[in-house]
Order: sequence, then C-alpha cells, then structure tokens
Amino acid sequence: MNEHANIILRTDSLCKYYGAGDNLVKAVDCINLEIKQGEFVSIVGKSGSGKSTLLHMLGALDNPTSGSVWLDGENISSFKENRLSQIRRRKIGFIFQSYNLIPSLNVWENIVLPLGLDDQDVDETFIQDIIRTLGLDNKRKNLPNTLSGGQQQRCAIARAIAAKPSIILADEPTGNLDTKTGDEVMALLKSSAKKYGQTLVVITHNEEIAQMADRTIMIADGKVVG
Amino acid sequence: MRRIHSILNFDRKLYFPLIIIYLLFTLSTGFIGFSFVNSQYTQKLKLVSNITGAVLSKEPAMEDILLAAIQDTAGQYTADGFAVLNKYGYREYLSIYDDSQYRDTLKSFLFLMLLFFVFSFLIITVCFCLLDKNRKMQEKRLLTLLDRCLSEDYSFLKQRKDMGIIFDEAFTDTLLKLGNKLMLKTQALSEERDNTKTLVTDISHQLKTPVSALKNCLTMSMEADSPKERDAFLERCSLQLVKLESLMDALINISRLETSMITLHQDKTSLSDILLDAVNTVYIKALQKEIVIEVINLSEEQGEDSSTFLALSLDRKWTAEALSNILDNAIKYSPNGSTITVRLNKLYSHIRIEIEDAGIGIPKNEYNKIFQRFYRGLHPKVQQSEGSGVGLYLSRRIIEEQGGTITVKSASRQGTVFVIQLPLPFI
Repeated sequence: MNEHANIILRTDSLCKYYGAGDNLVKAVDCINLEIKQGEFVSIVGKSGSGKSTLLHMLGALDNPTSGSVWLDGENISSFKENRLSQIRRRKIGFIFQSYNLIPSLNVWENIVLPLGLDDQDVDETFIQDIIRTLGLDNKRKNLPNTLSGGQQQRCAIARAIAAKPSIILADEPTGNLDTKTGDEVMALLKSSAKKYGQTLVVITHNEEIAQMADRTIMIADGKVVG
Repeated sequence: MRRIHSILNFDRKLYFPLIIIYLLFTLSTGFIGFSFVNSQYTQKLKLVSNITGAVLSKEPAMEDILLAAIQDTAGQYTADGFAVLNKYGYREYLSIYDDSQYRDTLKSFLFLMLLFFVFSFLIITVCFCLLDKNRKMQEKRLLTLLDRCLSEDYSFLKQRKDMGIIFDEAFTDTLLKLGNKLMLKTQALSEERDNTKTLVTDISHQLKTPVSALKNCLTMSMEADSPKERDAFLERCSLQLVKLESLMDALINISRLETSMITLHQDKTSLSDILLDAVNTVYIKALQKEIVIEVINLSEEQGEDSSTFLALSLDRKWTAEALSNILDNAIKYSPNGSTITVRLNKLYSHIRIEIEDAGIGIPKNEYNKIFQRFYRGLHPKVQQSEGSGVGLYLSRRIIEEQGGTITVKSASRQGTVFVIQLPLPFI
C-alpha cells in the first residue's frame, strides 16, 4: 500500500514574498509540510512569523509567490478562481478569530449558508447533530449579536463542519476568548473534528492550546523550526 | 488518452447537438410542408383566376353566378362540374398520383422527408453509440476502481484528474470520499498492528532492567558469605520486586488500553465520586509528605447549580485512575507540607478541572513530551525518583478517549497546573 496515500494536505517549497530588493519580506520561506487525514495539527509561532500567511495559502485564500499546495492530490495553486472558490466551499472549512458570522442571519441560517451557496441539499439530520454536539440547540434562532464570544465561535465551528469538508483550517480560533472559554471551544473543536472524521489545522500563538493537537509545527521567520 | 478524452467530452456536449438536430428537423419539416402547401395554393389560385378570367371576358354577366359558386361551400354544382370534366378525360375521385404536377410535388416532398429522416437517424445513432460507449467505459472504470479498493490499492485517490475526465464532479467527489474512508480504515488497522508491535518492544525493554537487577540481587544473596549480607541482598530483592510489581501494574493497564481490551464504560457517575476515588488512591502518599489536597468548587462559589457534577457520563474507575496519576505526580514532585489545589469549574459544555501543585514545574519544551509513552522528564529530581513514564500517557489516553482534553501550564508562582476538561452530557 502507498505509504503517503493518506496525506491530505501537502506543500511543496511554498514561498510568499512581499516587496522587492531591500524591502523584500519573506513571509513564508520555502515550507514543506505534510498533513495526514484525520490528524489534528497545530501551527505555532509568534505574531509576524508567517503562520497566518501560510494558513491563507493552505486555504487557497492567497496565491503563493512560488511552490505549490496539494489538497487531496490536486495542485490547488494552479487553479482558476472559479474552481478555487468551489474547493473552498466543498473541501475546506474556515474558522477565524473574529468568527465572521453574518450579523443579519440567525445561527441556523449562518450554518447552512455555505451549503446554499454551493447548491447543496441541506442534510438536516447531520446539521442538527452538529448543533447538538456544539450545544447550540436552544440558540438556533438567535442572531449572532445576542450570543457570547464562545457561542459565536461554536456557531462558526458548526458552519465549518456543515459542508463535510476534508479539512478545517482555524486561524487563532480562541484569540478573542478568555482562557477558560478558549480551552473549552478548543476541546469542542477537537472532539467534533474527531467525531466527524475531519482533519484539523489550528494556527495559534498559545502553546497551551497547541498541546491539544496530535502534532505541533513551530514556525519562525517563515520557516519550520520544529 | 486524448482520443478517449475527446469522445467523452463529446458526451457532455451531446445534449446541444441533439437539441439542434431536433429543432432543425421540426423546423425543416414545417417549412417544407408549408412551402408545398403554399405552392399548391398559388397554383390553384392561378387556375381559378384563369377560369374566371376566361369565362368573364366572354360573358361578363356570369360574374354573379361565379361569385356565388366560389362562395358556395356546400358545392352543389360539384357533380355537374365533374360530369363536364369527365368528357375531357378527368374522372371522378381522381387519385393524387394521376395528376402529374401533384405527383412530382409529392415525390420531392417525400424524398426530402426521407432524406431528413435518414440523416437524423444516423446522427442520433452515432450519438447514442458514443453515449453507450462512454457508459460502458465508466462502468469498466468503476469496476476497476472497486477492484482496486478490494485489493487495497488506493493509488487512484491521487489521480483525480483522470477520474474527472470520466465521471462528473459530484460523482468523483463521492467516489474519492468512499475510497478515502476505506483507505483510512485499512490504515487504522495496520497502524494498530504496528502500535501493538512497538508496545511489545517497549514493554519488553522496560521489563529488562528491573528483572536483570532482581536476578543480580538474587544471585548475590545466594552467593553471600554471611547471613547478614544475604539478608541485605534479599532486602534489595524485595525492593526490586515491589518496583517490578508497580511497573507491571502500569504496563498491564497500558497494554490493555492500547489493545482496546479496556473499553471505557461511560456510565452516569458523579465527579465527586471520581475525585474521592482518585484522592483515596494517593492519600497515604500525601499524608507521608504532609501535603494537603484542597478541592475548590468555583461553580458553587459563584452560586451556580452544581448538580450536573452528579450526572457525568464517564468511566468511574479509569477516570479516577487518570486523575490519581496526575495527583500522584503532583505529590511526588512537591515539597513537604505544601498544598495541592484542585479547582472545579463548570463551563458550558465541559467541566474544567485544574490541578495545581507547588512542585518543581515542567519546562515549556517538555509540555508535549510528558504525555508520551515512557517519557521521563530531564529534571534531576525526575530522573532520581521512581516511575515508568506511563502515568501521564495513560491519563491523556483515558481523558481523550472520553472526549476530554488535558493540557499543562506553569503555575503563577511555582509549580505546574494540569488543566483537564471533561465533557458534560447534553441534556
């Protein structure tokens, strides 16, 4: 059996440079990563170490200067914008520090919104199960501004899982939360990713949160240092 | 491959040619039919005009009669007309074939229709043949894929591009997901096998040292010169035996957990029972070092209802084991007379347990390693003290298996805080 068959996300000499000449900034400098299916990987680094730039390229939100990103065996850095947005909707779940919920939609609508954008049928039992797992059952009709930070982030987690993506990318998911709520949200994120068999990549500067991962990748100055 | 590609691409675009052929066919039939009817109408009109002209130029008075005859839909003079025409060779109820003009028109009309029919038939047949060919190819490809799944060859998962040519996207996605799932299952199985292998190696390695030490002690005691010396060696033997026993206990636990011989029974249980069990296990050790274990329920202090603490869904025995391992460590590395604080806090979906000691602390770069199997800290005090490096590993396994998490951080002054989160059951 092919030993590398279960690698879901791989980068090949991935680079992102800004500026030129003396002002050249190597935000991401020749990073090679391999992330296995079902794995929970944390990417740790100080602010400015290039970890967010890296995550944006992993999620096809940004184009690399050179190198490639392989998701599910496809080189997504070579795709056109149309196909990329399709991949982002179907294969990648995003969770951001600032939740990014739509303020005028209630919890349920926010969760099923990406499915609607992709013309997918809403698997109501599945969504219901996610909502229950994340403890949002009695908040389904609430608007985001009536929820606490932890609840909003749980809603964002539900939205990320709803489309059954192959991989979930989370950028400082607990950045706006206090320690206790943050730890709890991470525990929920971890257990639901495990429950639904999803690969989870979490970017954080918080080493305590990074401990929950199966594997930690340290980034400094755009390079993997351990 | 390119040829197949073009054929298969044709399949997707086939829809439009078929529609165009259909439209062309219908429109041409209509148009040809219309033009034939129209030409016949013009000819008839010419004929009637000719007759009318011929009669009226001779007999202008006949106009009324002619007009009446033209407007007469009942055709009361039809029989008379036939009778006259009969004289000139026209027979009653003439067939359309007997009129040379009509015959030619009809012939060309039928010929054109036939041509169209043959043409469209050919095109449609070609389309269907291609479709059929494509379907057969898809079936064949699908069968190959399934065969490869059966023989555990999942390399096709990497060849999405090839599959995309043959199957449409949604189908490819589902196929790949199915393949992935199967592959993961296979992978998990083989990983488990490897895991068991390393476990056996690790355990045998761990057992070697104390067993050989025991053996040495025993040999020495047997070869001892004086009873006093023999007793001293025997004493050491028994010490080694105790060590071995505790190691055995740990190893048995770990191997049972690893080989899934232990299934955690997540029954209804209360956190206080679990805590009590855990503290009882380490109570004697704490007493010996005069260490106080203090339990603070933060939720109760905040006036919250802590009744949910009574209805957790956890395995009582193993969760207590997990907590007692952490308490045991805390006691081991804390100074005499210090306090270990256990803080309980009910959060939204989890119960947060913080176990804080005033011990030697854990350096940051060891945070991840301490939960690894057989890892022993680098601190001299850790190296000197007894232990197998199994406790925390076991704790993490037990807690994570039940949907919880365990992390470690430095205490504000000195020592370590273990943070354990255990899931609350959803009501």
